Formats: sequence, C-alpha cells, structure tokens
Amino acid sequence: MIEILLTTLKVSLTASFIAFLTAVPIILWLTNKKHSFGKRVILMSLTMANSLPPVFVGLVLYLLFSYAGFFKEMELLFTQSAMVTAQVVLSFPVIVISAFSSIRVYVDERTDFFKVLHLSKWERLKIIMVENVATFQVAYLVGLGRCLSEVGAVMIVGGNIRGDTRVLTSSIVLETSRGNIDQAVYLGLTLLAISIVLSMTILLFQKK
Amino acid sequence: MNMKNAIFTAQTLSLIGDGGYQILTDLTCDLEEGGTVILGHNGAGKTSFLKVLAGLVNPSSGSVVLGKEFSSQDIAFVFQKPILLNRTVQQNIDFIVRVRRNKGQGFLADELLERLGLSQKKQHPAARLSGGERQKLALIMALMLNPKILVLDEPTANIDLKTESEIESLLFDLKEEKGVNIVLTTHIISQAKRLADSVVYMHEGMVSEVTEGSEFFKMPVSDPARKYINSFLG
Ligand SMILES: Nc1ncnc2c1ncn2[C@@H]1O[C@H](COP(=O)(O)OP(=O)(O)OP(=O)(O)O)[C@@H](O)[C@H]1O
Ligand SMILES: [Mg+2]
Repeated sequence: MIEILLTTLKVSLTASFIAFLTAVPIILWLTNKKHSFGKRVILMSLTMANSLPPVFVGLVLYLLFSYAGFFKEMELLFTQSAMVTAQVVLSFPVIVISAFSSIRVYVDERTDFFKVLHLSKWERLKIIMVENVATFQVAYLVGLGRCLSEVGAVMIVGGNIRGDTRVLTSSIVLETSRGNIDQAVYLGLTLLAISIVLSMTILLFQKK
Repeated sequence: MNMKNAIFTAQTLSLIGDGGYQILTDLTCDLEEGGTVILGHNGAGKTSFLKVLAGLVNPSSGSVVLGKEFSSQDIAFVFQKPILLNRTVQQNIDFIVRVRRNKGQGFLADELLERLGLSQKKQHPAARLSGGERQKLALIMALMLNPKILVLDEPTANIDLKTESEIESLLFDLKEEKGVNIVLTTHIISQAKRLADSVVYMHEGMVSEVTEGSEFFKMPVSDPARKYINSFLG
C-alpha cells in the first residue's frame, strides 16, 4: 500500500515536473511573440492535446515502445520511465493551456510599458515570471492533478506490475475487477485525499 | 522667426490599422521644445500619433526623427490607462529605478509621492489604488526614468478636479522649472491653454495645423480646429 502510494507520487511528481520545466519556456515564447502563424498552429494543437484521452496516448506510446526502432531499443515498455513519459505527454499541454491565457493578458497589457523602459529580453522574462508566480504554480498543480488521476495511459505502458509500475489508479481498477471492494475503496479514498489537498492548494494560490 | 529646436520631426507618417483602416495619413510636422498639446476629436488619431512618436508603434510608412540632443531612452510615456506592476506602490517605483537606463538623480520619489499626496500609500498594493491614484503613480514612475521628453496621453481623463489640478501644476513646473519637454493630449481646454507653447490640431488622421499656443486659442487657422474651439465656446 505504502509502496503503491510512493510509486504514484514518484512517477507523477517527476512527470509533472519535467512537463512544467518544458512548458515554461514555451509559455513565455507563446505570450511574447505577436500573431504569427506558427504560434496559432501550436496553440491550436495544444488546445486539442489538452483533452486527449489518456487511453489513446497510452496506446500510441505502447506502439512506439513496442515497434518503433529507436524507442524500442530503449526498452521502456512496462517501466516507470514509460509511465513518466506518458504523463509528461498528458500534462504538458494542460500546463501550457492553463497558464497561457492569463499570462497573455498580463503581457499584452504591459507590452508598451516594457518597451518604454527599454527592458532587455532577460529583464522582461524575469519580470513576467516573477509577477506570474501564482499562475505558474497553479498550472503546475493542475498538471500534477492530470498525472495523478489518469489511469488509461499508465496501465497500458506501465503494465500495472506489482511492486514496480502499480500506482493508485491502476490498482483501484485491478482491485475492483477482482472484487476486493474494501481494498479498492481504501485506495480510492487515498487518491481522493490527495486530490482534495491538491485542489485546496490550487485555490489557495489562486486567491493570492 | 522660430529659433526652437525640434524634439520630434514626423515625416509623411502613415499608419494603417487592422482591417486596412487608415489611422494616420501622410502626417508631417515638427514638435518643438517646451509644451506641445495635441488636440482633436475622439478618433482623430492622437493616441496613435503619440505611440508612433515614442517608437511604440512602427508607422506603415514615413518616419519619426528624434531631435539631435535626445535618445530614445530620454522618452517616458504616461498611458491613458495606467500600466502598473502587481506589487506595492513603493515596489513599483523601485522597479523603475532598478531598470532605468538614465541613472543619475533627477527626481526624488519621496518628493513626488509627497507632492501628489501618495506618501501614506507607499505600502499599498498598486492594484488597490483608485483610478486617480493609479494615474498619479504612473506619472511618478514615468518621471523616475529621468525623461527629457514626457509624453502623456490624456493624463487627467476620468479623475476629479482636485487631482486634475495637482497633476496639471506638476506638469507646468516640470516644463518651466526642470526643462522637461512635454507632449500631451487632452480634451480639457483650460489644461491645454496652461501647458501649450504650441498646439497640434489633429483631424481624421491628419494634422490640420500647428500653431503657437496663445495664437491658437485666440484664432485657430484651420476649419476643423475652429469648429472644435467654437464648440467649447457654445
Ligand atoms: N490597431 C488599429 N486598427 C484599426 N483601427 C485602429 C487601430 N488603432 C486605432 N484605430 C482607429 O484609429 C482611430 C484613431 O484612434 P486613436 O486612439 O489614435 O484616436 P484618439 O485621437 O486618441 O481618440 P480619443 O480622443 O478617443 O482617445 C480610431 O478610429 C480607432 O478606432
Ligand atoms: Mg486617445
């Protein structure tokens, strides 16, 4: 039980962290460059990816890890790394989309102001990041939430191996199908508790 | 004859906006040292002209030349809707002081805060200030840049008479005592009279006349300006 919880946290924290670190520069780039075609395309794809069904992402990664030369050689299938990869793919667009619109409003309102000040690129980025810390924090937590709650992708690429790739969501599925309802409810409540703590933290940051 | 130096020389400026809308048309004029007030009806192109002058917007054609003794870092801009950072009044000012290019000690923040009645509000979050207070803070922040040219877009729109006259007399002193060049738009004629060494009248994206302040308010030369002034006389 503790092991399942630790694996869950380890995988999802790692995945959301990687996704976040990748998302931040993309968000800054998206809000900084004005109306370009490439930017619109990327935004549209991310908006669509935002609602990708986890099962589908799992399936695509499964195929990649099983058959595609380079990915196959890395022998990722049924490892925690595979689960991390799946969750990165799932949470990255969620993080970008969640932070993008409010940071864009912030930047648009202040473009002229920054220009008058002749800020260097770095000074500009710094002030945008500092002034939007709360938004970034919320975006990260939303991404983490997506990682913790999904089950489709981790089951397919992780394989739900006991003591290795079994996480809260996948073991709930398993215990329920086995008829171990007590155990499933117990795990379910644990997941619920985590998600409540997460939501409350988000609310706290949003209020700031 | 006119012996004043130009701070801005606009040469055949055109600006085309979204949807092909012609905002400025073939605009040529010199703005001279001292106080320049740009007048004109809503939509005449005043804000757009200011932004092109200050280099915030690139013209579609034509150019703006800055007077020899100035650099683009000598320009400060006070926007019609004040732009502030999400932090306290004092921290907003500190930020400007930290990033400004013209170092030196031109203006003292504390004096300006005192003069505009904001010294009690230093620790207030800027977002919580009233409209007039935000406008004053934006002006103080602009001055912390130690500008030689202060561009203001309706700095006293939507604020009460007391605040209006506080800002107005500060601008007057800046111009007369500190030698700061002022370029400002306003819809308040008394303010224009007080601050204008010369008036630029804009109509439909064009400048219909540039006239010395005292002359303008006696008798504008161009038709649109005459109508505008007459509408105030009733
Ligand atoms: N980016 C843009 N695209 C299209 N039209 C624009 C754009 N910016 C401004 N305009 C139009 O150009 C005209 C001039 O706008 P501007 O804001 O310069 O007027 P103004 O003289 O400052 O008016 P006001 O006194 O109301 O502030 C307006 O009709 C406005 O709708
Ligand atoms: Mg305007």
